[in-house]
Amino acid sequence: MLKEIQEKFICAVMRGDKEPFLSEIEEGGKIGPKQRLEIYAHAYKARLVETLAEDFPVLHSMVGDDMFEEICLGYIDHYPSTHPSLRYLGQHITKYLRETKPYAEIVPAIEMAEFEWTFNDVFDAPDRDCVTVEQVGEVPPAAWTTLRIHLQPSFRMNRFKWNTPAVWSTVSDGDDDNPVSTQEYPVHSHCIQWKSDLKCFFKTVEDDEAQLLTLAMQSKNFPEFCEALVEQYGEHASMRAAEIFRGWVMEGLVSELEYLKA
Amino acid sequence: MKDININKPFLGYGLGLRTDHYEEILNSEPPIDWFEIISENYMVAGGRQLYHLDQFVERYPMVMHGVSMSIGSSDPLNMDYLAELKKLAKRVKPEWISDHLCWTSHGGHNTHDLMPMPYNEETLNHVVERIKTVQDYLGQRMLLENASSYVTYKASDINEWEFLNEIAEQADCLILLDVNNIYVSGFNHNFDPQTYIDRISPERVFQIHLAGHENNGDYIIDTHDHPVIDEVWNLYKYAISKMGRVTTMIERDDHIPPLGELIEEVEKARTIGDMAC
Repeated sequence: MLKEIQEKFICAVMRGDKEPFLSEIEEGGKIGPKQRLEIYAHAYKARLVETLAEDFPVLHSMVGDDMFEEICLGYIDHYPSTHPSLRYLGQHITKYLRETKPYAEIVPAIEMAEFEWTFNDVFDAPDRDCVTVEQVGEVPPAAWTTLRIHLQPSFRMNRFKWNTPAVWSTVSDGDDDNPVSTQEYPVHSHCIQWKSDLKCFFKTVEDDEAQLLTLAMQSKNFPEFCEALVEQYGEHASMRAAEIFRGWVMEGLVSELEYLKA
Repeated sequence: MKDININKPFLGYGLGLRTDHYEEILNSEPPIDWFEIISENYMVAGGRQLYHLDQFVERYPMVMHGVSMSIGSSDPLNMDYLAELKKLAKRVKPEWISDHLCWTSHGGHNTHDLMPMPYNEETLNHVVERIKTVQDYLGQRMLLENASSYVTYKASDINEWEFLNEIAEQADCLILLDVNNIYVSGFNHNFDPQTYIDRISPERVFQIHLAGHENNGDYIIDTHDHPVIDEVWNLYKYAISKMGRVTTMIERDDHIPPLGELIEEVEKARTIGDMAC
């Protein structure tokens, strides 16, 4: 009986199939069963749309109120929330946009959704201390052949074909005087997002840096970094790898250095 | 009636902790005795939420209040959720943990709303068994809160207060009495809020919630986005006169005002509550 009532109630609220549940509601009072049910149906949609608007403010701004609400309602219909926390409500929205017409053709909107959701993950990721320049200086020269660089748990890297981070910055800063319109790049660019000392950061990186970041995520060691850059930099490969690595340390991207001690 | 065999602690007068006020509270240490957190907001691996939480835990008594246990659902208990709750409790060391007498999920899908229960023997037995399981898992009694509701079921054959009381007795759990919710549901379902309070076992009421709502004329929505209204303050006075002094807090979840406005409400609760001494 309980299961049956809950099934009817959830079908009414989530899918608009209201008739079967209406017969379960006691009559009486100043409002009827339809209006009583409508309170729950309205609250469900309003709460979830509000949550998505908080998680995707720039996407909202890009597509406007009407399309954003249409996206949200379609999304929660296709991907009802399966996690007890609203924090995870928007986790499939990029996938939904990619597989749903007409949104699948609005690539800047898809990229913005991905960029904004990545910030959610970065924000809540585990916090680790950053490796300092001094700690790098303590690595014995012989140990660099075994050095593995662990990035912050918050580190994420996406590929974008549009100027998504630039648009996000302008809209987030509320810079109406110098609006940046969406613009397609000739080739994909890599954008990294991470957290250092509880603050979230992002930046676009060159292809060689993206290549080393990928190797770091695969737990490759420093000699393998250098090897990967030989074709492009020849005898200067190790210098370039060291330069990139130093930048990561300065920006708080590195959480641990692992190497064999003599 | 079982002998609950514990002294009822009194934490004083508290406030629901919201991000808008983190800095001001930590910097000014206002006259607030304790804080309640929404458990789900802190079930994350890291970040600012946990950073600030740790600072509050160091300075104040805390209680954990959940919105997603879904104790009344016909789905199996979500053990992943309970594991996260237990992990958070280890960090917070709360005075107690509470959630609502409702269901929030069905068939694996979450409504993120407090859906009402049919009040009958079947659901009573169901909820009692689940609370026992939760309490065994958490290693402590939990508080169960009465939620506001907008529908009553034909399948109900007892009153909400009888249902809540009987669950508390049979599961040996405690009660978080939301006085505003009693007022809201009383208006929506045409029952006398004082009768509700009269029938609740006072020794099990460990905490009281006070909040505002939105009156739409024919019905009231429990929005927690307004100050507590006079009728609810009067009902609180009535509850205190019947139950004695109870740990009490102000809940505000939307249209969050400056901290000073909420402190005024906390102080008003203190004045009323201390009259019971």
